[in-house]
Amino acid sequence: MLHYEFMQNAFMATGVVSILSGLVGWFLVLRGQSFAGHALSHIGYAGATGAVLIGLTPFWGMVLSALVAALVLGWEPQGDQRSNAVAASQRDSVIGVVLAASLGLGLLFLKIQNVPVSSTTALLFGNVLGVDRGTLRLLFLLGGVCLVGLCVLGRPLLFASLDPDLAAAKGVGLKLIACGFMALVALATAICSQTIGILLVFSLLVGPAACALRLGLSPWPGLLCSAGLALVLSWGGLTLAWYTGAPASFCISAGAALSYILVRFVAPRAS
Amino acid sequence: MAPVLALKAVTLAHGRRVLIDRADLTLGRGTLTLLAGGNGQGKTTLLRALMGLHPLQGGEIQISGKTPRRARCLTGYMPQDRRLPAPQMTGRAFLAASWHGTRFGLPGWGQNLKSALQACLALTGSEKLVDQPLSQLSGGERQRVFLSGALLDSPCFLVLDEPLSGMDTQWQSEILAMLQARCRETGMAVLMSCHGIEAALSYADHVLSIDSQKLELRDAAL
Repeated sequence: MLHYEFMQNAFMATGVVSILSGLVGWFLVLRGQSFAGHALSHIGYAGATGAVLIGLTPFWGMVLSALVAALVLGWEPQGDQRSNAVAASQRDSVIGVVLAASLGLGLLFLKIQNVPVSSTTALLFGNVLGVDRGTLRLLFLLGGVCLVGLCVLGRPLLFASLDPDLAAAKGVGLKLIACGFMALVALATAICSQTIGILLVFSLLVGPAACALRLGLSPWPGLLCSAGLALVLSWGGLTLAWYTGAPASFCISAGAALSYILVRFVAPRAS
Repeated sequence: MAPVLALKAVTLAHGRRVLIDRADLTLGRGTLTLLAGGNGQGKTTLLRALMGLHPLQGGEIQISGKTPRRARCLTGYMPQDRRLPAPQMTGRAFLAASWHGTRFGLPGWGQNLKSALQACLALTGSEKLVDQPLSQLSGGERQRVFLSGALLDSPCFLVLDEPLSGMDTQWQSEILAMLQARCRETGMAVLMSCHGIEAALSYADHVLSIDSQKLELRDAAL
């Protein structure tokens, strides 16, 4: 399996993507922003399809549009809104409408360009076996940028995520942290979608992180567990895809769902 | 030496409702002051203003000669209510996150953090509570864990909003005795709001009352 260059590329690409998505996803789930983050990938889809119209590559279109959307989402009223059902509902409604409109816009852009359906499929569901060396270098570069950003923001981000009221009282800029973090999510989403696709990005961003948080692990063990599980899922998914012929994205997303179901049985939480 | 807390003609309002009108106040080092007042008189608003979380309508607040925002690193704070987005986490995870939590970089870990936490946990008798998920602690137990967090980094001024709520009388006495001893030993000043201040009077130096938009500071022994 590893004798083939395309499989070597696939393993390296999913390795970068998994570690990144495991770490960023842990904070995303902790902050209750899974849905907001999910919207970024759909907005990125509109950006990717629209970019071609103005002469950009789909990848950079996705990165730019997701970054702009991330800053808008980060500037939203701060704090965890799960305790305020009305505010959370309103916010989710807005995100849902924007998410659906973005998909529609992406479809329109594709129609204008008159591109084959296979292009859409590749964007939505990814093509990890088609990652070439150039794309791999880009993934390593942007993955590195994202990890450095997370290392810089990590401490105040954790403080603001676990105890937002005290963090604000001690001088953490909640809006600044939220914008910075959502920008990292946007970047991570764009990188992940290169391998697993826009629709299935959240298999790796949310699945492993949700498992780690469900297990009640403290931050450091939780982050390592999330990244490790994402790595196991993606490499396991690739291996399974190789031997069964099933799509790699399916194997990875199914593995993430099964892991979460398993963890729910193993660690029924009482909170 | 500058007083720990100085209010000069401070006016505080909530919307159009004036809570405190042109109040002056000075609190010195090593004193424990109880903040008393009825519901809606402005106790929490005053404490939030001391942390720079509520804007002043007028006047000036200084903590050790600095503005509240600049003095945040000198001030320990325990809010009355706080959102807990991840109650499945242990108290230790919460306290560790707040240790130098405003600095950029990786989340804290290692021996320095462990030692700092251990010292504060011992003060509030929370050593056995801190490794349990917060969702499994009672209200009083959580307060003790959070009080440990407010004491991290040995602040010179401690602002506590209803820290004794949910605690049984024995723990209330032990916490008050500990705070009084810390004030005497380290020179830290404490301003804390609490209902039913009678039980706390014997530990306090002053009582600060809010009544009819005025602040009145009196000796606790009187």
